[in-house]
Amino acid sequence: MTTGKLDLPAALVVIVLGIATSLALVAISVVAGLIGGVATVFLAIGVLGGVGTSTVAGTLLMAFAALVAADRTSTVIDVVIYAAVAVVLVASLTATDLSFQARRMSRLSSEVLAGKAIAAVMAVIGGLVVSVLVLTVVLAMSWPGWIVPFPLLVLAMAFGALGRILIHHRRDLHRRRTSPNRSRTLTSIGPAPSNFSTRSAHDPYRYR
Amino acid sequence: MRRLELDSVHRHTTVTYLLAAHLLLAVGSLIAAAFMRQPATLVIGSPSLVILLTTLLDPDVGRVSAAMSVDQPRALEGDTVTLTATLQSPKAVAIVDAELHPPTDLGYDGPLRSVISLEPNQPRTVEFDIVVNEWGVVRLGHLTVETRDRFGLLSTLQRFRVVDTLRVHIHEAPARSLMEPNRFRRLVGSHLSAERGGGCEIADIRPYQPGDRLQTINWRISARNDEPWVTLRHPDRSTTVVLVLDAFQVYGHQRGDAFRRSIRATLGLARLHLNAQDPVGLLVVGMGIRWFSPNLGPRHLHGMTDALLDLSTTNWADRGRHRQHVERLVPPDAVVMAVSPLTDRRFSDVLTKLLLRGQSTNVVEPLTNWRNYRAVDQIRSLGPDAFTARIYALQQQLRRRTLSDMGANVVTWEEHQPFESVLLGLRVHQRSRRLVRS
Repeated sequence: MTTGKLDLPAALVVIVLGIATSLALVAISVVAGLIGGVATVFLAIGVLGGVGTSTVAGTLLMAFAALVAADRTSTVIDVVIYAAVAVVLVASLTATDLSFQARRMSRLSSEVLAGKAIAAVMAVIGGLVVSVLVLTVVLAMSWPGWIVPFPLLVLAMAFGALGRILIHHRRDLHRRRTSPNRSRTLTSIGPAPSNFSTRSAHDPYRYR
Repeated sequence: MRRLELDSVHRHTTVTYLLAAHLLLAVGSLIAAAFMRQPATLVIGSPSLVILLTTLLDPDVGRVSAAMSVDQPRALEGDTVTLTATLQSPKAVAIVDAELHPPTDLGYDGPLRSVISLEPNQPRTVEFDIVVNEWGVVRLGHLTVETRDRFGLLSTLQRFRVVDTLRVHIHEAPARSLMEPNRFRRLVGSHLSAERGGGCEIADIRPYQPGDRLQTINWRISARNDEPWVTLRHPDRSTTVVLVLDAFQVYGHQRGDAFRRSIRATLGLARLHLNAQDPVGLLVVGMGIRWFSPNLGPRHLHGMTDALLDLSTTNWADRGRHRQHVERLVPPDAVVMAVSPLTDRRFSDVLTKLLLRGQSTNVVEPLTNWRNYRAVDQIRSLGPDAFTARIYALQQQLRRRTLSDMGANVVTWEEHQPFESVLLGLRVHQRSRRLVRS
């Protein structure tokens, strides 16, 4: 168990990653580097202040900076830039989420930390491998027309799944009670007689 | 360890901002790849796409069942109690965020939030340390359990209300000096009666009379006087005590205030007299009535203690009892010990009725800090605080004087004065009044 606040370490991770990426982007394009810097500020605010909107804005700005920095002439360089930014974005979002988990004084189980980190790494690796494979297929062919409706299809699937989740899981006022265990020990005024219940027969809150 | 009853009142699933972020990245990169004819942009959104697909394939975050227990069934004011929440789920849950929300009058020692993960059907416990600062019947708040998937895209919030309450006992005012009653039962106890009979304390000697027990002959005096003399002794008797508590006091939420001291004193007196084999009754008079007829034994003490703890709530009175003729509840031979700051006319009326019935009545009056009195705020428009406080103090003095004139022994109790010294003062008061009578 880790006890304490994780805002600052998570913010440090995000800031270091953001600054490194911005500097790398500056080497390619000054404008992209500046946008990356602004994105880093947004991400840092999101982590430290617990503001989800700021994190989302920072993420999108960072992606935009990558688009600006893309060379558009060499696919390999573009892929490297995009992959680096993708790593930064997933790391930032994971760090932000972790800092949200421990936003106040709390105990954080080490297996949660490890599980989250492993999942993020697996997602990045899996995503990059898949994207490289797709790219290889796409580039091997001439520009395929069927790829155009694909984003719309994914969008529709995503919204459909979301709607199903929200409709399925919205259950309010589900009541369940567990029976109490009536202990017969008193601590403050000496041992109670065996026929004396811990809970008074007159419970002022229960029978109001 | 006492198990607490929980009431699951709320379950709600939402999407988090992370889902929006990943969705925007994935869709944005796809659109850019398709419409801008830049397939390389697919790389930037591919991890997000994987994360989204992983989550959407298994959208059930998992339902967690919770049980709670407290390490001690009752607590004493200032104690730290440990609440243990046991969480379990039929399926593995990546992130379980359990947070206890105690009421504001409870303190805490350490974090109130734990983030763990759950294996299928494997219960895990999290502990929260709560500091109970206030006496009374204390609510424990509620527990929220937020479950999230591994990537934190979906979140299910469950809220469990702790139905059971915790009884937090007040520190009793330590009392050692029994009051000196003028009425006794015909049973053995700890009070020295003025009668002659079998006991320990020597009362007098006199010549032997037919019928005297041979054990009472004082051989030393008999030898000196050449005739049998006997020793007379004071018998030890018990008495019936009825404690009358003023529950009209409504300013009972500050440490060291009159109400709190009244309850501490009542508890101390109850224990003291029960230990001395005196049957003790309790009459709580306020907007309602709570009555315990005189009795002996620890069970009776616990019952009275619970009744006093109930005073921290608004629902403490016996149903169906009315304040009219409340004095008839008190047995005629009982000694009345009232604890009241004498701030309310209705309570002093009750004492007046008891005195008119010829009841032996003693009053301990915890002095009030008028600045804290809530009623001062209500009539502040009448004038400055000091003036209002003077009016209240005069009314209090008048009630004290009236009761004293009617035969009650009234002693005042300063805020930082030990209760034992108040009892000693009461004994002095009782003796001087007895001397005046004789």
